[in-house]
Amino acid sequence: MSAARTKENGAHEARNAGILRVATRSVAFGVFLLLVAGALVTSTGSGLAVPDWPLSYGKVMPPMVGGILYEHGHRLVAAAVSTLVGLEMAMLFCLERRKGVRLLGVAAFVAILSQAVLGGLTVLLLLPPAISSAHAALAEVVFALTSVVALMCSKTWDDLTARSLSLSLEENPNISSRGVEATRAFRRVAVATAAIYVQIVLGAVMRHTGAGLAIPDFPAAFGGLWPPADELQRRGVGLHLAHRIGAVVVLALVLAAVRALARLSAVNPVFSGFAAAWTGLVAIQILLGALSIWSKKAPSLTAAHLAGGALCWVVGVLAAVCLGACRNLPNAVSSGRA
Amino acid sequence: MSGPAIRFRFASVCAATALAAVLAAGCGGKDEDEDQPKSARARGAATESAAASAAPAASAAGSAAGATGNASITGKIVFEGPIPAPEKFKMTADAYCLKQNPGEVARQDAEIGPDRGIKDVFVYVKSGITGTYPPPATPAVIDQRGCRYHPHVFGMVAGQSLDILNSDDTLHNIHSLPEKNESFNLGMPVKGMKYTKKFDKPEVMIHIKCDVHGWMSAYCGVVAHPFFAVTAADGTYTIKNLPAGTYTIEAWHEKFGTQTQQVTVGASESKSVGFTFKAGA
Repeated sequence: MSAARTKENGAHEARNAGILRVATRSVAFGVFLLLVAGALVTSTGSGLAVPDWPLSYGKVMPPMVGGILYEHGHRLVAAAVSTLVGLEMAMLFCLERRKGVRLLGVAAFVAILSQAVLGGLTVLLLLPPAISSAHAALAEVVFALTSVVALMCSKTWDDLTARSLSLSLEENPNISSRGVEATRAFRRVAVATAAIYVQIVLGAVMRHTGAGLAIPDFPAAFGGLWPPADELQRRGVGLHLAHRIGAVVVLALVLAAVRALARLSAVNPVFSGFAAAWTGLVAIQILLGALSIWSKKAPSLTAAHLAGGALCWVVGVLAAVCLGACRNLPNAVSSGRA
Repeated sequence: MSGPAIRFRFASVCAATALAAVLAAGCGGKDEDEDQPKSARARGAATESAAASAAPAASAAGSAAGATGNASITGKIVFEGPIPAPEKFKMTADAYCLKQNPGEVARQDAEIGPDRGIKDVFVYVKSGITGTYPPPATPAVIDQRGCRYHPHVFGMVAGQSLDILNSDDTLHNIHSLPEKNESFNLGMPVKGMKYTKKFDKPEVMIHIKCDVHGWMSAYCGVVAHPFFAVTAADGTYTIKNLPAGTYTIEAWHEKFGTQTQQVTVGASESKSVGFTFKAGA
């Protein structure tokens, strides 16, 4: 009788985990689509095509013409995705035992509601750069939160946390000492991810202050290696230059982090996956940045550049979370044996 | 957890979530412009009454009234070098606009006639005018017609009313992007709608655009006096009723930049001041 109940509970748990797995991945993907929709609004200059909020021209559904297609389309996607994030939170409370994951679900829902308010304010206050940039910066946080929830509900996470990294490290003769590699990789990944976020915020401020083409050529700057002093005085040039320098810094930090991740690939293949994805995404991202300038900010390319930045950021966050979860294991084992 | 317990918990959390979402959606507040048709209400209308009651810049108490005279400045603004081919596009973003303008249409940012005259150059007295000039009682007008702004470039006196019309059977928003004046973004979804706004401070130029139809763009030069003109299709202009004096005349073009010249006119005298623009100047 008791065995049957245990078996039944186990089946319930497995079914719930399966539901959560699909649901959380769908929500994270939905948030990514929302980011792309938001990027298209900015890239097409449609941010104020609908001058009122929360209604659009006093209606729930205005004619979807011109810039309204992008701005109202973004609102519709936002409404749908916000609802999904709310449902995800509800599901986590019902089906998820881990308190931390539930709290992440709450944080994601609070963040997306705040995001809606910021979106409304940016319309009502006629796109003030500070609020518009905050709207863009918070969007990345929502994406990261929902992605981490999806990660923690995945089989990858179960495998990762079930396996003692320290033992794997000890079994591997190529790795020097337990935990050292994981800790080093965690630090490097965390620093690179933080740098990517700063770079994204810089990009958002640049976009919302109209400095996207403040330096009109690439890879040169006004035909030289460094902008002339008089050009540097012009509005937006310093900011644009900072974003370019930021790209170089991010590239260096990501390469260092990728190297550290690659050393852990023998321990768990997920790290080599992160390393490969990150390298590819950062390379594509730099190319998209160049194409945005060469195309004089073609909407599709600038939107793709924003989407690429979001993916780079989230890969970093997920890698850091995975490493963060692993790196405590070696210490525990280590201190236990000492 | 048992099935019924999960369902109850799920329903409770969903209800709480939905309540939070409804509360958040309700934070938008109420539209202030109750006189407009409900479908026409949009942000920007709220600033209407404030702008309408604002005191005109030119009515500062205690300053001397500006003089007028019979002098005039005329001229022609021409383009030097190979005439750039106008950039063309299709108004496919809105079926109404496409019906009004089938096929490809030229952008209005560089209209150069066969005799090299440049249309839509804003020419005004930049300095040399003293005293204050009250804004004219007649409003300046900008009309959204055929998914274009009419006029594309215009001038007005600081504090003068600007009537904004929508003659199109499609919706527009009109969004001003001043640096010194108060910005507005008005939704005009209904044909025949009219708003009245003011720019209280001199500012050359203020960009006006429609975010629905990205090609719709206009420029407004706001000056403290009535001595300005916009070039006609042949590039000519006339600034009338000037008092005698020495003035700096500035010509502004949205693509070719600005140029200035000094001129001295006597009472009832007419002088010619021409400008020549080049590409990328």
